Amino acid sequence: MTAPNVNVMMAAIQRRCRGKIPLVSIVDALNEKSLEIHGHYEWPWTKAEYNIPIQGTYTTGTVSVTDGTKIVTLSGGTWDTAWKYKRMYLGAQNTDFLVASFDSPTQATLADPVNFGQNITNGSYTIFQDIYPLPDDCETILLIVNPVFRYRLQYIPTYTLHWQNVYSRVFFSQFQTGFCDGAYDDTNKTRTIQFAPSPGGVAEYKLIYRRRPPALSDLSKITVLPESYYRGLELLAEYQVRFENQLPGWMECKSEGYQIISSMKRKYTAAPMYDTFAAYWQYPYFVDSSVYAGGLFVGPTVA
Amino acid sequence: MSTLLSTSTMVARLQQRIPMNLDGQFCMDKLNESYMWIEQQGAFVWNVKLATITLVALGTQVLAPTDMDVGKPASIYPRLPIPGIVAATTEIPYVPMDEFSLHEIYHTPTMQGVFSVFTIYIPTGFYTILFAPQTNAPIINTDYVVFYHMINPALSTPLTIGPNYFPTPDQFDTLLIDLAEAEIKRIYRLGGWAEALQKAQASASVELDKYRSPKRDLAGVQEQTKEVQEKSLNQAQAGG
Repeated sequence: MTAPNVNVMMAAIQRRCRGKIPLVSIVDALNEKSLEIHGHYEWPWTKAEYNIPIQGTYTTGTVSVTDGTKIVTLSGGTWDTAWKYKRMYLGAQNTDFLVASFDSPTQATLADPVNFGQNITNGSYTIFQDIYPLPDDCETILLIVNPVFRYRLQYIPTYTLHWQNVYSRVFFSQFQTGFCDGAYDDTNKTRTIQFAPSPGGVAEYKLIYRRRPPALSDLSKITVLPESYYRGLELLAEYQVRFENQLPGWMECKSEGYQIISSMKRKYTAAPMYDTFAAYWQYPYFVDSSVYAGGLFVGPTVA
Repeated sequence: MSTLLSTSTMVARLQQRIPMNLDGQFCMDKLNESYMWIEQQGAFVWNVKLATITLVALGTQVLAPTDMDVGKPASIYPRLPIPGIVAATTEIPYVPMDEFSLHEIYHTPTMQGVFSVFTIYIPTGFYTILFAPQTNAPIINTDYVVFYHMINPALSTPLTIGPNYFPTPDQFDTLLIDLAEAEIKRIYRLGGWAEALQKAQASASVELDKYRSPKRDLAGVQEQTKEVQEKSLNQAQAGG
């Protein structure tokens, strides 16, 4: 016997409700209760990994931009129009600009117009990226690890990160010490994080996180709940549709459903104690790394 | 369908019961009217039919079977398998038109071929089945099974005197005669017509309850009782 898929659970609920409930309402209820169950506790099966592809800097060629405008043109180099979340230093100015889009291999549009009081003509520049999108299903970050130097990055508040960047604004490194919450990307509907100091070379950081349960988006999908407990989800979804459609019997469904989920919680709270968030404190921060000494980072950098 | 008494026999018996030299066609008309009265009492198994309708790719509406009685319960579900998509095997419930638009938007991502509800309307002179949500329209032609109540041919084309039989089961033959007899007596003001009519209708009602196709009426009463209990309990818990 295998865990029932959405189709089977939906049919069971529909059968018990005498065929009165709109079908997609039942699927909605299954999804909503699945999210609710997963919101109650950090279930072990929601752990996931993702390699964050850290990007290096790009400085090839020279750029020109008219003061008060957003359009930057490049000569002597090639930009990738697929780049996102990039920032650009222009000339010797100690101000970076978010790049809204790379319109062509030789033209970019900044998020804000430059305000230097003078045009830049064939000036030097540096493109870098310190903002990275989180996976779509990321709910909670457990750990970000630099696997090469074997330390974990520290979560720091936004203001602390920017305060630290005051000193390291033109300092690029492959030794990021911390990260903070980045802005929400409205276009791509994605949460982001921001690293400090700004990455100077290509790397892979390992993100370990709690994921949101996958949506039960078609009838063949199976819930990620352990098979012994899937009935808890089914009953809670039935409770919801019965309650919303004013069908009697919702109280029994609610009661039995939450009993099953409580039983599941008791089991999974007791078993994997070693796998809780608290246990990750043992993973060393950068200050415990062999490449950190006396407040200085000793590691590869790109100036 | 009856196999017991033909319409010729039923007319003859009616004429025997009321020896007034009644016209045969007049008696036949009253038997047909009695049958219509029975059909008006609800949805019955002798009218249940099953048909397959084909929904054109990306479409959300399809013509209802031409003989479908849209005032009576119907049940629709996909005929499986549907190549290329995973469709619900479950009944698609009916909702009246004033609730239909509420089912066009759901939180769940688009699920091709999974319609949530259907309603019936008449856009071009023919009853049409309309599905929601529109976003779930399958990209290929899809067959659906429809259980429905037909408009019995005996209604649109009344039976004539001859070797013809009413669509109702055998035990309704005498009930039809009873009903027609009471009606004829009422027309001619013959004594006891009211009691005869009342008795015939009561007998017919008992028999009809056995043949009602939807069996949810009784369950409905039980559910109402339970709903009242639950509301009381919920209020008591909230108050406590």
